[in-house]
Amino acid sequence: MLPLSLLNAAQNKPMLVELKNGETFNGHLVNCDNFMNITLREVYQTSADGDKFWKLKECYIRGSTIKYLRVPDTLLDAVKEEQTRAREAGRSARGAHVSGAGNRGRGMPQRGRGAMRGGPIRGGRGRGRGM
Amino acid sequence: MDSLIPFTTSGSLVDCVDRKMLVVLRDGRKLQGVLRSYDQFANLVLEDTVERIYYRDFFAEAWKGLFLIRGENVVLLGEVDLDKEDDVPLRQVPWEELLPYHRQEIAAKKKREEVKAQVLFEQKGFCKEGGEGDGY
Amino acid sequence: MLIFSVFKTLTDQKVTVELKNDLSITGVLKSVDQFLNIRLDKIEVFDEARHPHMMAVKNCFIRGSVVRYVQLPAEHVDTQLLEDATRREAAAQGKR
Repeated sequence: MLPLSLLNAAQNKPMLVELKNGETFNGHLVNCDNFMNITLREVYQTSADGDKFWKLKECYIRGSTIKYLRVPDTLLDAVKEEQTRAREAGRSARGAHVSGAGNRGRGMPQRGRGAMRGGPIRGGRGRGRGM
Repeated sequence: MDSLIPFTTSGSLVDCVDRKMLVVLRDGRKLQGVLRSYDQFANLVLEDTVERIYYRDFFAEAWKGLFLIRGENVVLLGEVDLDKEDDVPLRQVPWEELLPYHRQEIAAKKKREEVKAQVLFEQKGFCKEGGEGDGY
Repeated sequence: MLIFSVFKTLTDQKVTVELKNDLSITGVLKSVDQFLNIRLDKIEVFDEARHPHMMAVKNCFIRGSVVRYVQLPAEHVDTQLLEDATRREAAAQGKR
């Protein structure tokens, strides 16, 4: 699963965000977008030197300023499991799904809940538009 | 017939997945973990990550867990050879012990780079970098 | 695009990449992309002792933005062809 999908799945989970300037933000993820812009709530901010602290009810962090995010280790397994469950549910509900134009060409195909576009899953890791 | 893996970022990274990788960040940090995912920006998902610091013949590790790294902060991504790893002639010591030496080395390196940048600026006409704060 | 094309023709050749932090890595060029990110196999690091974290690494992906130089095998680069292509591109750019 794509890195940004993992981030989306981390909504409401606690995480640590370190910015390029070394500041860290500990909080729960409210929302995120494709630019990696995020909003956090119940945030503990620490300065780069580790000597100043702030508590913020909520904050917005621009994706371009992020160095990395640390998320709970259990998240990856939890998301994979949820994906499997969603796929099973989709499969049993719809039965065999026929054709329709698979979402090839630009960008990654939609790997949303349930909705399996027709045909084998193209793209996924490493294919597609590869910028 | 050879498969033509496209000349794309994703194409370069596709066979690194589920392998133990070394990631060097622009701030100089060295992380090792299992690469679980990436995208066309080389954003990475690294599982079971440890941060390593080195000083002379020693190294130390601190377990950091699951990382989502923004691609632009990555300097290089190296595939760790699990056999070669055992031959590395460095000794592991506790993190807290090595940290002060490591920090000292970083500070010294930073000072050297600053002096170098200053000399290049004054004597050779190099421009003063915007200070991207790269520590690698 | 031109330099990207040059790199594409050099896959499976031995090159040496020098990073902006003075780290030099020799290896077989396996892949390149439009950002000139480089994938090297079977790497040898120059002055390995100064870069101990590289000791157990055999292949690597290097981000284009951190590269200072790439040393190419002269015998595999057709400089005449390159010069002509460059002039053509420059002319095309000029017209636009």
